[in-house]
Amino acid sequence: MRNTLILFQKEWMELIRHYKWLWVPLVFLLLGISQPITMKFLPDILASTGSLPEGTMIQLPTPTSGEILGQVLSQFNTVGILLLVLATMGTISSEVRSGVAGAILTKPVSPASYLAAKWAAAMCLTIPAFSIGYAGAWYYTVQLFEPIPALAVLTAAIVALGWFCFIVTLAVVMSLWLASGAAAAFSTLAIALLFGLINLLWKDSYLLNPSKLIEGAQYMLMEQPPSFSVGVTVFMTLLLSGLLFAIGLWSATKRQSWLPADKGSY
Amino acid sequence: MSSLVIKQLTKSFGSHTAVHPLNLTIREGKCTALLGPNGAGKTTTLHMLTGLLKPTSGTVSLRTSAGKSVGSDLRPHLGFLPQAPSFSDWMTGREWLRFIGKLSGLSRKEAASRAGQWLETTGLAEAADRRIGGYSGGMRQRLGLAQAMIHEPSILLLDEPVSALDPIGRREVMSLLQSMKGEITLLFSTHVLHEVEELCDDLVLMKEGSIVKQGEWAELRKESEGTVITIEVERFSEMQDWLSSLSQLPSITKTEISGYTAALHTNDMNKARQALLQEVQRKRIPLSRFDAGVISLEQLFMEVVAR
Repeated sequence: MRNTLILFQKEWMELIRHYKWLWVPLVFLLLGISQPITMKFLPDILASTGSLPEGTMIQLPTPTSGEILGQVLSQFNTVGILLLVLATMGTISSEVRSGVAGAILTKPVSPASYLAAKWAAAMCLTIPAFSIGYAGAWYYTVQLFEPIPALAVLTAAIVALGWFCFIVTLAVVMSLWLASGAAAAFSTLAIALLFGLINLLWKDSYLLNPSKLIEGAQYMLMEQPPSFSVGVTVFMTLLLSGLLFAIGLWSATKRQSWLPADKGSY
Repeated sequence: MSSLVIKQLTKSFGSHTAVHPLNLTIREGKCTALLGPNGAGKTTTLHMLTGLLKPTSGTVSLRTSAGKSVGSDLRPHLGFLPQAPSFSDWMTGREWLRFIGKLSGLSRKEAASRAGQWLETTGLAEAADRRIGGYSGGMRQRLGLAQAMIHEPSILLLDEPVSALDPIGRREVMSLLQSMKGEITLLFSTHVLHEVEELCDDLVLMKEGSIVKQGEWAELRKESEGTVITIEVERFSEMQDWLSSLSQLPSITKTEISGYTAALHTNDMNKARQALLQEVQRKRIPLSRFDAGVISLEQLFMEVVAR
């Protein structure tokens, strides 16, 4: 436990020194506030581009605040996920390759606490980045459109965050299993995409599909009853994340070599 | 100080066996050199001892000077300096040592003071607060040594500690090791032979994953004593002819010539020595070196490895 904390402090220092803790939340903030602003000025933007014939009346229904925040979640789900996965993709594999993992693990450190610290650091990037972006979106949406019940906004945030945490957990575990960061990023994104696809093809997939959380959160924001039990999906996501992390811990403990793959033989 | 007992240690990568069942005892407080050509399995063996690589089979255990036997996790008792030590290059040397010290179980305060001490000992005090990314190869090696020693292990394992260094860096690291000798059990792999001669008590020669010869360096030396005369001459016109003509001398069984030196294997040291010195006298050979009966490590190495 103590070692996990020491390793976590090092990870934290790295997030700060490499400005990851600055630019990832910043991009989320940008994504978050651009949505309400764009929606507000969309009619003006369309009018000023001038490609429409003279006298055309632009009649767009004013979106509700819930819809806008729902769109923000969709933005986070694409660009945001990509960003988070890129920021965590090599967190373990790059250290194994450079030999830093070896240096750490020749000291009396359990591989499990190494993985746990990596995971905790990734969470400490994901949760603030999401929260800052989402808070920015909320603020501008309320400023530019109508108010929205805080309870709905907050529960929706927590539900949606479950999906992001699941994907980032997956990215961390993948960086343990795969030797290259690119491969870890690719497989994580492929799995995220696969969950989205399952969602389209099989509507009862909420039982095992964490990506349903985004949809559930969007229902909550629009104050509509979801078509499925969000509670079950939240529970299943927690269970899946826990299982994934447990398998990660187990495989880290059982791992045969912490040496770079090309240096292992002699 | 501790001794290390290795039993039936094996490592296979698929169908390739890198280390064949290895049985070895590293004596307490001594310096043991693991010698062998590239690919002999030295580094693999060291990696298995540190736990970075899980052995296919076999055990490693440690006996402390207090008589306690440790069989499972040896890491608290071991220090390891890899061939090219790695660090988080964005940290400063001091930060890294403190971090590693804490991971080794030292308290925050202890880690800070030991880090300071070791930076001093390894001559890195001045660079302590610079980023490791800007360190030279020699500085990295010394930081690696400080990192390996920070928790005062009883055994220090080193993987070719100086082979990547320039002569100055080599001197620095060797003198550091020399100063630790006697206070700690040292095991290091190398193929730089002369440094072994000055530092080591015991010798383990490996080839293709197996031990081909082992023992105390002094004993091994004695064993082969009286069998080789090495001479070196200054350049002269008929040098080549003269050197090769030496095989005609009485009781010389084999000559090996390389450049200005010749190694003469003999079965009667006294006779061969007499004959050779007379020959030198008679032909006024500009002799620059004459070694009788002292086998050099390089000769032993070549002999064993070529076999």
